[in-house]
Amino acid sequence: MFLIIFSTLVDYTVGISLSKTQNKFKRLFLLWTSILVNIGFLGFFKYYNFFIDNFSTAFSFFGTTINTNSLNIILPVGISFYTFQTLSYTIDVYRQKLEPTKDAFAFAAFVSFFPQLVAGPIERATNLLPQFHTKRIFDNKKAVDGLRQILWGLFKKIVIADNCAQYANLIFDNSSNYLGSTLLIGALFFTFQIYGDFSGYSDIAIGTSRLFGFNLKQNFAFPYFSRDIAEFWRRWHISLSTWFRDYLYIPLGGSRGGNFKVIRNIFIIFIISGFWHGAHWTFIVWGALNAVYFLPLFIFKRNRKNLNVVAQGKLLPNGKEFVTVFFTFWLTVLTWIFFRAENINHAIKYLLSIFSETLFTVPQFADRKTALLTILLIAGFTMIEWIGREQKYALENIGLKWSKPIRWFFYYLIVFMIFYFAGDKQEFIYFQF
Amino acid sequence: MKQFTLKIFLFLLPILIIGIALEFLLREIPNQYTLKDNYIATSSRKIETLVLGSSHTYYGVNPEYFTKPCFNLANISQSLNFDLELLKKHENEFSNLKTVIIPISYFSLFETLEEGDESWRVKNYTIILI
Repeated sequence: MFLIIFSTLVDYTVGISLSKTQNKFKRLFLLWTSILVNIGFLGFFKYYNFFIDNFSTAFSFFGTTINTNSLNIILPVGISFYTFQTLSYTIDVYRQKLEPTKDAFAFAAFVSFFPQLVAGPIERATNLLPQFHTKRIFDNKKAVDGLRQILWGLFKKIVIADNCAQYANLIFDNSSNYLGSTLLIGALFFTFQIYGDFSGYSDIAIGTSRLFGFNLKQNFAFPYFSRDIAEFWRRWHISLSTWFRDYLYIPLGGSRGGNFKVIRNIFIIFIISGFWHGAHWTFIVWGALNAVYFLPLFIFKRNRKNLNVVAQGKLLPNGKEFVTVFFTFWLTVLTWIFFRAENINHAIKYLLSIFSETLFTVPQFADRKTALLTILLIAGFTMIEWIGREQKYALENIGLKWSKPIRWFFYYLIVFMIFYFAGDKQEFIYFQF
Repeated sequence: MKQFTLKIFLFLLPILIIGIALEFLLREIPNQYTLKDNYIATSSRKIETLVLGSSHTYYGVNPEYFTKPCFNLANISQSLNFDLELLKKHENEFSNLKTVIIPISYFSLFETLEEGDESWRVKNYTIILI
């Protein structure tokens, strides 16, 4: 509690102070105060033990043992999200893109806005803060839309993510006991677990905000229908990737300054993005791999090729679209292995086991019927997502033209499925970040 | 806003009704906890020896081998705190109770039901201890 209050006070004060001076050095000093306080807290609570342990390992590699004390640090909930959110405020005020607010309560509400405090979306002050200054009038259509989004978010989390989690956890935690085909299915389950979990939370957060008359930005735009990695990163955790683009990539020079600089910037962004997720080498490797995939697209100027929705206005994709979506999807599945694995060694062994002769065997599941049911749920879910891929969330326009009894029956069906297919309760994955 | 609230209430009402009905029906299904609770309600005065504890006594102690009237109130994974709660619930009903057997297994002093893998069984106690 102290952390968020302190962070709020610092950034509120910095914002006001920035408006009172035009002196370049003073403004820079104020900006860096905000950056150091926020990143300092984040760095300490999230990365202290990582750096200490790796520092010690590096020294022991050279034959020297140093005594270090790891601290038993509990990561404050939401710190990775609200620190970035408040930083966006001070940076935008510094850049004079936003007038600082004198309303301390509005600012505190912006920082601690409960639907998105714990796991995003990371909102920009330019979007969310003004909404606290305007009077919100209840809008029935917005509220109903919000509830529909919450319902879909709950379905994604409880039916899809939690059911996939049971198999993903079982397979990843005992990966040495499984054949390649099962390990591949395990990676597939994790792929849908993390999507259902995180985008489900975002849907619940955005839907809840709409109930209160607030408009948050879309955080996921059907990323698994992407035709290349560049498109994937325009559709996955949009609030984080745009944050890094605007506040790190562009200040580093962005796409200007020669190939070496651009390649450096791309790697920095992706690696830091990976590292943001957690203090493990697996996240860094995951980020670096995504940079490796992105680079050829950038070099051959194909990174902005697929800006519209795949098969826009059509029922099905054409052959080329299908192949590119399929390829990108499976590339992502294999990369998620690093995200989920215990360590690099585990991830590499997992991958090697997939790409062995045991890949062409029948997957092993103790309870085959339930595993098959989960796969069927994923298939049905993917179909609904495909149908709604041109909307902000899959259910946005589905059923709006149906009669009320049929529409309510559809809602009851989803509620029934949430209760009936509820998997073992799992924590939201991104709460740990 | 009123219309919206009313519609939400109307939407949730069938879910609530079905939920409450299902809860009621599920509670009517006999299980070992309710069967034992009902037995005590009808036969508590006869019981002179009461056996508490977890699956060790649940499976390991047969009241039929006792010379005096005995009842086995042990349940799977039942920890000491629930032994106590059950005893407290029925203490006024056991008018002839002379002996209470409380087993101490290797885990008894270190674990409670709420903290273990069988914590889902707590709901059974919640129902019968009201």
